[in-house]
Amino acid sequence: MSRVSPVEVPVRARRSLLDLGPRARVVFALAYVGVMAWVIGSAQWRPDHVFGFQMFNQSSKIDIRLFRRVRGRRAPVPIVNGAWQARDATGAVHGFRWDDRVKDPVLRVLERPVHAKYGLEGQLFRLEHALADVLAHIPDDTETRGLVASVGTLKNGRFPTTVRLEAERR
Amino acid sequence: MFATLGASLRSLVREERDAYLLGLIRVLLAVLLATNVWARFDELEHWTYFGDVFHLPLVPESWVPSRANYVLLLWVELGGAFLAFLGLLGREGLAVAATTGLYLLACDRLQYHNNRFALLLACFLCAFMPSDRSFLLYRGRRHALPLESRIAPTLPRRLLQLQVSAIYLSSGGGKLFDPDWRGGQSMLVRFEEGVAYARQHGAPIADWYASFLTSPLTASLASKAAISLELFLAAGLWVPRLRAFALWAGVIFHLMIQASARVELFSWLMGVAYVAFVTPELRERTVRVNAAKPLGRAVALVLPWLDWLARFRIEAQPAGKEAAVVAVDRDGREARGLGVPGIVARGLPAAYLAWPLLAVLGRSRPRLTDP
Repeated sequence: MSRVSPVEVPVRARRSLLDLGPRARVVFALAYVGVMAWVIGSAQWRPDHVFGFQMFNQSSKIDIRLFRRVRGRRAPVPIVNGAWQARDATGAVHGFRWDDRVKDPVLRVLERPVHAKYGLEGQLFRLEHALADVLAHIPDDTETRGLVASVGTLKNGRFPTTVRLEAERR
Repeated sequence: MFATLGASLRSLVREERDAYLLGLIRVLLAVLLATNVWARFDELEHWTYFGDVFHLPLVPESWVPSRANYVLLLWVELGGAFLAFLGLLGREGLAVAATTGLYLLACDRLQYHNNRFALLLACFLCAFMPSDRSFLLYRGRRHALPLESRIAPTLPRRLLQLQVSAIYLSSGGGKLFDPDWRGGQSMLVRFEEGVAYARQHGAPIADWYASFLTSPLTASLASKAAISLELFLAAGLWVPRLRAFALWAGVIFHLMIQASARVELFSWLMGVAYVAFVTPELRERTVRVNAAKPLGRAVALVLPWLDWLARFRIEAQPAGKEAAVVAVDRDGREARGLGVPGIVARGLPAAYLAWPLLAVLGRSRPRLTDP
């Protein structure tokens, strides 16, 4: 009467390269558990906790404001709306944009608060690298000596602080 | 105690079970993996290639593929997922696809998402399971090998279970040790933002309900409940007496997350991973139907379509028996009338959410149908 038994045919299972013998199975299992314990455990020491399965770890916000350190000026020059103009070695003027290089959905948002996915520490760590990366990829800008980010932070809705990050051209 | 633990571990290592459901896991993971790869293709077409803009590799920069090689690797991943879906060299396809995916994940930590990592790990583990003995879709209706060929060592299935527990443990443990999470502050901000967002988009939220949601007490209780649930799931899924309830609570939990946050494929992935916790043996419950009665005929018609995990054997009621449907549980307990839905819903994913309610209803009024 049963109409739901799987349709079966008299075929033996194909031998796969991935079929492990009894000892290899144990070694595989121990290795997997060991590696996974290390990967997850060590995520606590990575600023953005990658590979750590830390879901929704914070409800924090960052508000990034950018500045340029320019030759001949003491004070940093604000970058408005992520865009600026600068001259190359021949004196020709070029336009530059922060989001031409930084496409990350958190880091490309400037001058307004945005949710700091994976936590404040993680986003500040990434932003520090983003500043250095942008600076390294604007060869036509010979005026900018460094990029500065003034980051307003709000950790889980409290403790507003400002963090300053800086990257200098080498 | 150590002797018992040792014996349990030895039995886990030697465990051989029916691998039928592992084939289903392979097919479902292949679909999720293909969906994930397709989203990367979509990003490439409508956004940009990550290697051309700011990225943060965990591997040396020289290991980051060029755009052309990245496209090639995505096709490799997609091809592996396709083979896994068909069951034609499916495990090998899944292993190659998962390894490629993990490598690409290491090429840019900005693209890291817990759900993507968890999906690739599940695919990797599934490649080492005997998941090639059923749901061989390239064979059409004759997709499953006979039972004697399906019995196989399933230690990697235990590893997938362990992986699921590790995800809950890490997530719940991280929240437990964070005072802002434990105390409710993190959740309070989330609730406040949720209410503000809903109101901005014109959702009518009554003031009393908004006040309730944004109360520190509500946030504190919700935080403690979320942490407790995650830690309970990490352990409860391993306890046979708690497993069915843990799975049910987990489904509710993930539905709530899916409705309130953008977690890509995570909820679906956990749903698939839950299949690894289902008893591997098939059709240990029986539903006896009386073909002379409309209800019996209806159950015989509908049940096979909903029995995705092959939990039920359908048999004809012996002559002379009056009940339209009788359900016989794994332990031999028979149920009639209102007792039937509780047993049936427990085995059907589509009805699983209603199972506790149906079970309670069935047990509270047994005499009405079973005189």
